[in-house]
Amino acid sequence: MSASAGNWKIAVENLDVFYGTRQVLKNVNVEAAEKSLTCIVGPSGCGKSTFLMAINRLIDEIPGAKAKGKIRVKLNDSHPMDVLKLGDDRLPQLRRRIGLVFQNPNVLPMSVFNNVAFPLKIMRARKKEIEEKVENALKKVSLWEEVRSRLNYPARELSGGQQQRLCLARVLAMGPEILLLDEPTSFLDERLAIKIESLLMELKKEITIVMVSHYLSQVNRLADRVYRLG
Amino acid sequence: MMDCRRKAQISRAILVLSTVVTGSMALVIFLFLFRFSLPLFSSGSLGKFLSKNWDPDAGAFGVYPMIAGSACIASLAMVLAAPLGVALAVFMELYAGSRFSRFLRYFVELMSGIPTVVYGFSALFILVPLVRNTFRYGSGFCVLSASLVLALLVIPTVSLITMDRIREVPRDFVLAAGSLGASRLETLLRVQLPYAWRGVISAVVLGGGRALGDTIIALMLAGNAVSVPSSLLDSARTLTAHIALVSAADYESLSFKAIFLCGLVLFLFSMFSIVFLRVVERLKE
Amino acid sequence: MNRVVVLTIKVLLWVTAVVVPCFVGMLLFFLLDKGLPVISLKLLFGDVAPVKALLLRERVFDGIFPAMAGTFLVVLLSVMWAIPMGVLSGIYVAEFAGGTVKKILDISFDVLASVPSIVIGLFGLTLAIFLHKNISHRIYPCLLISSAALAILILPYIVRTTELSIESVSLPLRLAGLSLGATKQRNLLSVILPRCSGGILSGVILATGRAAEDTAVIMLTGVVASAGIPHSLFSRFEALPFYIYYISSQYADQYELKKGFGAAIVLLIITGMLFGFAHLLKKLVARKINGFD
Repeated sequence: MSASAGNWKIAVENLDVFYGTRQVLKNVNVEAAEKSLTCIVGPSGCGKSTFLMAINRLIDEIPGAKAKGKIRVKLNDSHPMDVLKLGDDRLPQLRRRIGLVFQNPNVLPMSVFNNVAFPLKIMRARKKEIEEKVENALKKVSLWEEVRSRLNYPARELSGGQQQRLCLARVLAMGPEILLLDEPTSFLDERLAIKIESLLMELKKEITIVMVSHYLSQVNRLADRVYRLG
Repeated sequence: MMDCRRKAQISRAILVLSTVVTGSMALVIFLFLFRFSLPLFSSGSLGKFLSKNWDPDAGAFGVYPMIAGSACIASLAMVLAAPLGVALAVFMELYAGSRFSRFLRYFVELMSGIPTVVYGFSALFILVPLVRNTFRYGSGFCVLSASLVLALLVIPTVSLITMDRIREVPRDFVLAAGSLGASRLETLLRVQLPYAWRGVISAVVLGGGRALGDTIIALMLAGNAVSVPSSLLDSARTLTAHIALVSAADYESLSFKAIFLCGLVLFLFSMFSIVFLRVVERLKE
Repeated sequence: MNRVVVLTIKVLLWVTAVVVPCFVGMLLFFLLDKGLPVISLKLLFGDVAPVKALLLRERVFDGIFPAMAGTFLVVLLSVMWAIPMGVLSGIYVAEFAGGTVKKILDISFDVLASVPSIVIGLFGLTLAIFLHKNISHRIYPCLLISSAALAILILPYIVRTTELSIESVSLPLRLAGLSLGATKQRNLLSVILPRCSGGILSGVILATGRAAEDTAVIMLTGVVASAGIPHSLFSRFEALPFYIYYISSQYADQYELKKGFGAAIVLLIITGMLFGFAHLLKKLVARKINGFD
């Protein structure tokens, strides 16, 4: 597949990923167009989550993991670059612009508020700005009404569905250009899933989304392009 | 041949018996110490033993200077060892996987294996003259010399425990923080260390216990003068060194009985630190 | 975080990571510099022929051989006390004790592990006095008392490693044996203990290292500066760590001091080998366990 055609945002070419000696991804080629929603489908265990973690180089944090190939990304105000060639010191910057939401909600051991505020504090935002952005992000994922009175409670005490939306809100608060989603509605009931889906439809007008999902109907409703792994 | 039930009963009895012996050892030691320092309590002369004077010839058996000496030396050692030990743990995690970090881990483990008497012997000929010549005061056998070496003794305890506890922080948190754009250092300082704070406290308290309980370093380097130290360059005697120094020639003498009081103080302190740690580990976030 | 703050923190971390090893390295280098030239058969045996000394035909007055032999004997004896008691107690705590009993035992072993070694020495001394007064006037602080006190010092370590090793055996493996009809004892002996013997052994070796380097316990319970090779459990003995301490405070001339440096290196080598071996074993055990996954 050629990466030169059209308005691509992410172009993955010949990606191999190894955990130690075990190969989890083999020769993966994926291209995601700017401001579109690309879906990744495939049997469980085929390395879909690993694929997402390769794009924002989070696999660097997994001992023994190694990625080979090319992951080219075009970020605003910068030249296209190969993510796999970035130096360690530039990873935090990269990950702020490429937000990743895990399948299993991994809230940090802090309060609800501080979870969403965490990336903002790291970017040294002002207190006032943090408060606004946290509220906005929580409203976007339809969580604000549920947690506004419990902002200072440990995030662990929220339900699974609430935690999942909290993690999405946390990433949205960073204002990423690219959003990587791993089964974003797996813990939600139908009503909430529909809400999140319409949020994604709204978001893809502004940012590029790559999503892993195994709900075929969801894929059909949302995806502009579908890739199959494994 | 014995039948199975019988065998099981016997093996179980052996297990129970040895557990009773080992499990009660701490209590037995406590009772011994208590029993032998009891005459001090009952004779109402406890105040005399806690006084500032230790002069067996004059009939003064105060152990207060030794308590002060132990407190000074151990706390100065911890003021050095706690930040350095935690910093080493953070360093090793921050650069985990790098060669220097691996070397450092081996080195710290090696440090924990160096005999204390070897530390003391070496420091006696390097550090003591250095302290004497640098400050041009006293003999160099002082609180400072002992604390510096004691800190080296304790650093491995602090940093190895801290590092283990940092590693126990669920990987999920590290990944979450990383995916939100936190650098390794930020993840360590904002997520891992705060999550592992109980571990850090454990490490420091256990290290403090080692510093307070060590005998040889203070005995060799602190000068062993029986007086409350008023500066870091003053000589001092710790409770442990005091026990080691009292001649046991006359079991019945009052000076011999006073060392049981020292032993009791040390025992109670280590017991309370263990209880304290249990309480801390149970505290909620 | 602010650039300046990050830089400051990193600089402090690097300074720590460099200064601490340098300081320790300096102490060790000084020791090796002074001590290595002294290492020779003469350091060990003085003027006595090594063969005669090893066969105990002639007493060594001028070498550290008696101290090495004393350390070897006292550590060997203490390990002989501590291993059976410690391992059996560890098994009991891990496999049979439950609820409150386990909690009390855990606290008790934690407390015992934190008792300063000089206090354990004091306990040994008191025990000797007690036996002297009540059992036999021929009992004084001696090899036997010292080894028993050292055993108390290392007991909690052995109990703990045994306990942890047993508890780290995975549930499926445990159930495999039981589901094949083995009794709890049988399962323990033929499935669980073989599985964690490596872990227990490395803990025992570490404890041996601790016993070998401790000075405070033995200095109250029977070690002396000059005694030759002990000929019975009730005789006094020499030991390397005490010899080093004794030299540091009592050396008469440069030659004695040099012997002190030599003895320090010998002790360092002995404990270093024990610790190295224990760590190697731990690594092998870890690899073996990972290999099954």
